[in-house]
Amino acid sequence: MNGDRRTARVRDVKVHVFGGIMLVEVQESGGQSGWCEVGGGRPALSRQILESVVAGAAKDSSVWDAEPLWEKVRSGIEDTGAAGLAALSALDVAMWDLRGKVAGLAVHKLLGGRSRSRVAACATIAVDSANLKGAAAEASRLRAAGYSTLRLALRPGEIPLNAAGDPAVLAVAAVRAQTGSAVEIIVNLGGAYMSTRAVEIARLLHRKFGVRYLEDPTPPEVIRDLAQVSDGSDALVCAGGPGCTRWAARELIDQGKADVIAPDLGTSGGITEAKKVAALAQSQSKPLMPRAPRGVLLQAAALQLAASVLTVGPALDRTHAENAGPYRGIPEFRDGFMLVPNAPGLGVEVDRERAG
Amino acid sequence: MDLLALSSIPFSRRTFLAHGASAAALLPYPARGAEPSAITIREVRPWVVPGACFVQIVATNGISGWGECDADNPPIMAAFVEHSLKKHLIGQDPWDSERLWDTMFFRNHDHGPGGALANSIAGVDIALWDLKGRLLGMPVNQLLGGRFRDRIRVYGSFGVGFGKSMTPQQAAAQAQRFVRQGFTVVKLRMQIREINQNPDPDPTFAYAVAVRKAIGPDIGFFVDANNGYTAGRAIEAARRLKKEFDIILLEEPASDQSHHETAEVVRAVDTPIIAGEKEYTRWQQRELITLGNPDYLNPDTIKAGGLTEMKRIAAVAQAYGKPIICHNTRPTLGTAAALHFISSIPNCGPLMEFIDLENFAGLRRLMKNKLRFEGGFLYVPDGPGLGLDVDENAVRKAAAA
Repeated sequence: MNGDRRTARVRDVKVHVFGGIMLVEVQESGGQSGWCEVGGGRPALSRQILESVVAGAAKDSSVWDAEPLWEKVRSGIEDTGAAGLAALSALDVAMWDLRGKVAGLAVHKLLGGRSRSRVAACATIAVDSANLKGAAAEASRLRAAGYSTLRLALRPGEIPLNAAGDPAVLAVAAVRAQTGSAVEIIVNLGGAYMSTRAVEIARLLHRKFGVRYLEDPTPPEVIRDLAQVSDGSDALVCAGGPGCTRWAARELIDQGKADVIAPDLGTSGGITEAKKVAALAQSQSKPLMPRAPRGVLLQAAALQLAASVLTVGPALDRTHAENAGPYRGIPEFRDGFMLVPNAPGLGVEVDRERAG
Repeated sequence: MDLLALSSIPFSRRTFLAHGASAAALLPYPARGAEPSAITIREVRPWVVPGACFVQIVATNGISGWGECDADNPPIMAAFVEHSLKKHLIGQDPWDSERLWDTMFFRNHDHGPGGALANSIAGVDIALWDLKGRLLGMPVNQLLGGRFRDRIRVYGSFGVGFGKSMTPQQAAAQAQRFVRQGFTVVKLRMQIREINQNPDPDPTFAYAVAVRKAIGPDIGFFVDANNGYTAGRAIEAARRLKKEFDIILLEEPASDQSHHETAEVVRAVDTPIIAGEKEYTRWQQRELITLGNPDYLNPDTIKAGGLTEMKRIAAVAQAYGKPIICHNTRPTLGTAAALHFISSIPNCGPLMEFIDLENFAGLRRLMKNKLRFEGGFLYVPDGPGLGLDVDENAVRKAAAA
C-alpha cells in the first residue's frame, strides 16, 4: 500500500470520549489518524454537529483541501453558532495533525516554517475574590514550577467605585506580593468593565504593579469601548477569544483598536482560520496570541501556529495541572518556555491504549 | 511524476522509530530518501534571460525549485537576488519559507519595501514553493491550502502605449487574435499613466470603438486606464465606457498614490473597479482596501512577494470581502504560480489576466512542458511543484546569449 500522498483522502471522522476529554479523530485512506480535542463550552452539542454535519462534509475530501473543507463545513454549520464553530475548529486542527503525519513534517513546517524554536508558556489562575491568599499561593507554586508569565482571570461581580479597592487591583496586589516583579502578569478582566473604569484600572495596574497586558477589559459586544481602553491605557489590550474569525478579528482591529489579537483556536475555526487572522493582524502590525485554555492537542496546535508567525506573544496557554489524558509527547516545558515539537503532525500522540 | 522528486520524499526517522518496526509495514507513505531535516538550500541562482529573471534554488539533495521575479527589469531583479537575498537563504531549511520571506524583507527594508525588493523576493519565494512541492512530490496548490478550482477563465490583455505602440486598427487586430485563440474576455490597456493624466482629447474612446467593433457584442471587454485619470474624469470615462462599450470592469482609474480618488470613483459608478497591481505587500493592500475600497483586487504573484505574501494578501482581502482577479502577464513560471494561488483561495474572482502566447515563444521554449490553455481557460498544472519543468540547459544557453 505504498500510496501517493497527493491522493490521500478522509475516510472517516469519529468522536471519542476518553476520561472526560472529547476528541475528534480523522482517519485517512492510508490508515493514519489526526486528532484534536473538541473545544468550547458545549461539547455535547458540538459532538452532535460533528457527527450529523461535519463528518459527512469531510468524508472523501482530499486531505490537502484545508481551505475548501473549511469553507464547505462552514456553510454546513450555518446557524449552529458557537457549538458549530467549535466542531469546525476541532476538525480543522485534527486535519492539520493528519496532514503533518501524511507529509512526515511538523505542522509548523506546513504553515511556513519556524520563526522560533520555543514560546513562553503562560498558566492561568482563576481568581476567587474571596480567597486571594489562595490565588497568591498558587502564583508562588507556578513561579517555582518555572512559569514566568501568569494570567489572572477575574470575574469581578460588582465593581466598587473606588479603584483602589477594585477586585482586580486587590488580586494583582496579592499576587505581586508573592511573586515579585519578575513575573509577567496578564490580567483578564472578563469583559466586566465599562470603558472609562477599565482605563482607570489599567493605568493603576500598569503604574503600581507593572501590568503590561490587559485582556478582555470591556464587554465583547461593545467593540467601541475596547478602542477607548486601547487609546487610554499604557497596557497592551489583548482581545479575541471565541469566534475570532478573520471577520471578527477585522472588527477588533478596525473598531476595537486591539493591540494583541488572541483567537481561541478551539472556537475560532482552528489553525486554517488563525493563520488568516495572523496575516490580517500583521497587516496592521499586531502580534498574534493564539489561545487554547484547555486541551493538550489544542495547546500543541497553538504552539505550532505560533512557531510559524513572525510576531507573537506574550505567551501561550499551558495546562499546568499534571496533564491527564491519553497523550504521549506533550511539548517539553523548560525555563518557562514550551519547545516547538519537530515530530510529524502536532507532535503529540494520542495513546489509544491509555485512552481505553 | 518527476523521478528525482520520487527519490527524495522526506521522512522522519523519529516517526519511523515511534511507530516501531512492526508498524512500519503499514505506513502508507514510506521513506524514499533523506530526512527533511537533512535537506537545506545549497545554491541560489538568478538567471537573466531575454524577457525574464528566473530564480533557481538547489537543495542539498540536488532537487531544484524554480521561480520568476517581476519582468520589468530582469538585471535589477537578479542583482537583488544575488546581493541582498541569497545570503539569507544558503544553508536554510526550505520549509521555513515564511520565516525566510520575513528575513529577506525586513533585513533589506531600506531598499524600499514597495518595489524591487518585493518583486525580487517573489522569484525566490515561488522557487521555494516549487522546491517544497517537489520534495514531497505534490503540486503547490495542495501545500497552499487545497484546491478550490482546476481552471480559471482568463482575459487577453494588451497595451497600446497611450497610442504610441499601437494604432486603434492594430489594437482591433490584436483583440481579434485573442478571440481566435479562444479568449472570451479582452482588456485594452491604455497606459495613460500619471504622466499623461486626464488626456484631452482622450484617445481611449477611439480604441474602444475599434476593439468593440472587432470582437463583437458577445466578448467581454474592459479598459485599464493605468492610473491615468483624476476622480472626476475617471467617473466620466467609466460612465461613457459602460454606456457605449458595455465594459465589465474599469482598472486602476486613478493614481495608486491617491486611494481617496479611487474611493470616489467606486462610490460614483456602477461599473466594478479593480485595482491593486502596484500594491506589493499586505500592508499596501490593506491601505488600498480601507482607503480606496475597490471592488476587486489585482495583485500579481511575481510582483507582490510571491506565493507567501499573496496568501497573506488573500487573507486580508477575505476579511474585507474582496475577491481577487490576478494581474498576470507571464507565459511560464509566473503564470503557473498564479494558477496555484488562485486554485487555493476562496475569494478568487471570475477571471485572471493572460497574454498572447504567440509573443513569448522564446521563453516558452525554456520549459520542457507547457501550460494548458484551452477554450478561454487556463488549467492549474497538477505535476509536482508548480508543474512546469524547466530545461536548465536551455536556460543556461538563453542567459549566455
